[in-house]
Amino acid sequence: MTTTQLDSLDGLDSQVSEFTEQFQRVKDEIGRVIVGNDEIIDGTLISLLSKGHVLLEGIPGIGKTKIVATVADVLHLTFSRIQFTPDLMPGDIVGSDVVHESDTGEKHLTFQRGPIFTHILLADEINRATPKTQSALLEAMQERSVTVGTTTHRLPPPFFVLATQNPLEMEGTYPLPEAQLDRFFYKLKIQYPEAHHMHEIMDRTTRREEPEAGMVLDRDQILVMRDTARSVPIARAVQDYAIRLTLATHPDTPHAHPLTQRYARFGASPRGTQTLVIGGKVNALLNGRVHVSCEDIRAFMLPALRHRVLLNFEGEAERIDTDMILEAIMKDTPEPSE
Amino acid sequence: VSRVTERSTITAVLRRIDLKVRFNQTLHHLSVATCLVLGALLVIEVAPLLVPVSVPPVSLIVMAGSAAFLAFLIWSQVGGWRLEHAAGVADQRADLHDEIKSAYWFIRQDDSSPWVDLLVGRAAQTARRLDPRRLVPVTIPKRFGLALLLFGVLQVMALVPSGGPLLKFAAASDSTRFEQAREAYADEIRDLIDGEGDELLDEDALALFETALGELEAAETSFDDLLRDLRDAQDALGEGNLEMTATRDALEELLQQFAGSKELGEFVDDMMNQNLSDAAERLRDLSDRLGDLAPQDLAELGDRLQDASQVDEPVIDELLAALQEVADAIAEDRLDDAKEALERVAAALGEIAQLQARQEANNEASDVAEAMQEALAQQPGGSPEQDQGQRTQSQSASGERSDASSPSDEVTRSEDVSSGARAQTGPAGNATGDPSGNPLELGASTTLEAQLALELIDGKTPAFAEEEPELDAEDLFQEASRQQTSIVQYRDVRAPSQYSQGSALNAERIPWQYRSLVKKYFLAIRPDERK
Repeated sequence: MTTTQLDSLDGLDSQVSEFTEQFQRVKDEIGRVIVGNDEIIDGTLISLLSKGHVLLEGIPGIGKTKIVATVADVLHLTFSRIQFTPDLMPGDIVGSDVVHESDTGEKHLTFQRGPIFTHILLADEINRATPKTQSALLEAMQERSVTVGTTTHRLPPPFFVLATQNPLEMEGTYPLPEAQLDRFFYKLKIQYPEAHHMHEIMDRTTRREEPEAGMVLDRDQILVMRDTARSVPIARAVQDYAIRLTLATHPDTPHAHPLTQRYARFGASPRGTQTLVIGGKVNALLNGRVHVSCEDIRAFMLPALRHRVLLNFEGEAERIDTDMILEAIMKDTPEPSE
Repeated sequence: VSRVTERSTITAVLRRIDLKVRFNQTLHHLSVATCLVLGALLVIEVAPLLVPVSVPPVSLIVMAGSAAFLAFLIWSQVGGWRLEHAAGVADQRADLHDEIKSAYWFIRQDDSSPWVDLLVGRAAQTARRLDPRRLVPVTIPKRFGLALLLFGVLQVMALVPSGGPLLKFAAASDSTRFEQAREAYADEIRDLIDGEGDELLDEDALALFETALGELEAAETSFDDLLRDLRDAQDALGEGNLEMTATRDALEELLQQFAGSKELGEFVDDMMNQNLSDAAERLRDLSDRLGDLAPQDLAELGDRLQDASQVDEPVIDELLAALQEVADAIAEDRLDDAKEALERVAAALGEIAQLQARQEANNEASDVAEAMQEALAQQPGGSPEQDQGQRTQSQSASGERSDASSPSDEVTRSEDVSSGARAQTGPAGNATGDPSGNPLELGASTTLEAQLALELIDGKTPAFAEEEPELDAEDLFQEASRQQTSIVQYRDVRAPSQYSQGSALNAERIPWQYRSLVKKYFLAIRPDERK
């Protein structure tokens, strides 16, 4: 796709159509392996196309790792998996300098790349590693680079982190700090599959041959799709709506929702608004539109903001779910021109 | 050119939609205004049937409503096109997912980029498909049905003959009764002044009556004030009664001296019958006949008059002096002087007669004033509101017992009467009247000044009074701490408590089943921070 084509309206039209079509093809291919979980797959792909990272939360055995592996297969990207444990060290993730002896017998230090040098990184059970190790991911997730000693190594685009955590077993874990939580584009909650989905899973996984996903997109196509998504214009009124939704999560602002004032300690950061807008742009393209609507902003508000709203003492004690607060905000925040 | 066309297409469609929206809004506002005006007219028609009130003319209501609606209509149309709102309406009604709204915002920004052009181009295509008539159809508000109903009710009510208020609310009834009583009392005082005339009535009482009449006519007084004026007037009118009684006693004493007199027999009879004017005429006749009397009769008359003039009654000293002159003149055989002195006696008696007549008139006016006071005492207080309050007080005093049929009904009724009497005459502390129903006399309020002091026993102050005089809250707190009732102050405990709370909540994961317990604990020790 040339620049001339991009500039022409017809080219843009076809680019939008191609975006939607490619996204649908990826979903269909993933759907051959993964049963249900449409919202998880959509959220994961939107995060990938929005240059974000995803935190998957769910009980063991419901396919978190399988989803990530399938996404990597379909997108034909390099994939690494790190099982986070309490004894995992930062060097185990980013790599380290090792002594290398040449054929002539000379010895010199060579940087041995860690598993982070990949396109898709599965950080399995991320909350089991120590904060020191968790923080090794911070720079990589935000800057898309790794610094070892005095040398900074760029990570190959697209760099996409999929972290998982188990909400049940909290003993011996290190909850992710707020700064690291904020770096995740979406926090997706994988629910236990429904009965009819269970039948489908049994049918697929208990046969001699399990279905395999084929490659649909390559790296370059993904990068073009990323550019396309960010090009979608958004009207000020819709952007204002996204900002008002975010401000409603702040307990100390005039826009604060009553539930926020009662149960929240801190609201979503500007990154949260960015997430709403960029996610809204991708969602608009997926619906064949070249403008962002308020509906697009709301579509993925829960995964975008649920990990960015921190509950206060009363909220924790009352076992308030941030999703409940966000749903109330969505319901009570009027759209522009209403 | 294409871009300009697309933008103008969107703008044109939005203008048509805006016109439709405005038209519907105008219909909506018109329906509201019509209902309000018709509702007001209905109230105006119905209110006089319920309560005696004066209502403004119908034309005024219609004109005011029309003017207000026109002003609101003009105000609502000021500001030109509202295309942004129209874009929102189009998006909402055609389910366009904010397409027109977004496109119009970029048109207003005069922003141009391939993506914006694509957005505007798509929005223009969508706008061409929009039919403003279908999108914003003319909607006749259902409120017009209500307006029609109100109009029908008004037409029906125009056919119903108006026979005055059908219902009398308590307040309106009280107000009417108050006004009627006020007019009745004004008429009564007016009759009193006009009937007795300025000549007979006491000047002070007359002034008080005229003042009360003026206030009643101007409706500036309450029944309490009127009662006070009447009481003052009655006091002024009764001031001459004491003097009149003394004069009568003196005249009776005088008449005893004339008992058995041959020439003064008729005079005595008239005097005994309180016909002082006739008695004065008898004296004048006697004066004319004085020269014709036989010497012994004349001497007997002189003796009688001489004895009478010796009576010690200062009230009639002028009369006695004249009698003394008559007796002296007869004794000295100066008949002309005796006649002249006898004329003065008659004149003095005439004056006494006139004074007594005035006092009797005053007494009659006093009786009328007293009757009015009695009527006022039976009347509820100075205003309808006061009357309402007094009835409430009376009811609260009697309670529900008056409605209950119990063996002690008689006792209950007597209690109600006495409490009612208290309610009608003002504060119980000032009433000094007969509880059996006679008019009460209101006395001035009294104040009892008292000063509490410690009793001195054997000239010594009690021991507890010599201890520390007064301790404020802070002193008490410190004192308790000194006595080791409280070792550590709460403010010193609070900071560690907050630290403990923070460390407990942030550093440790609290099992769900214990969270409510932990919450209750921390809320219990920091009640001031609970929302």
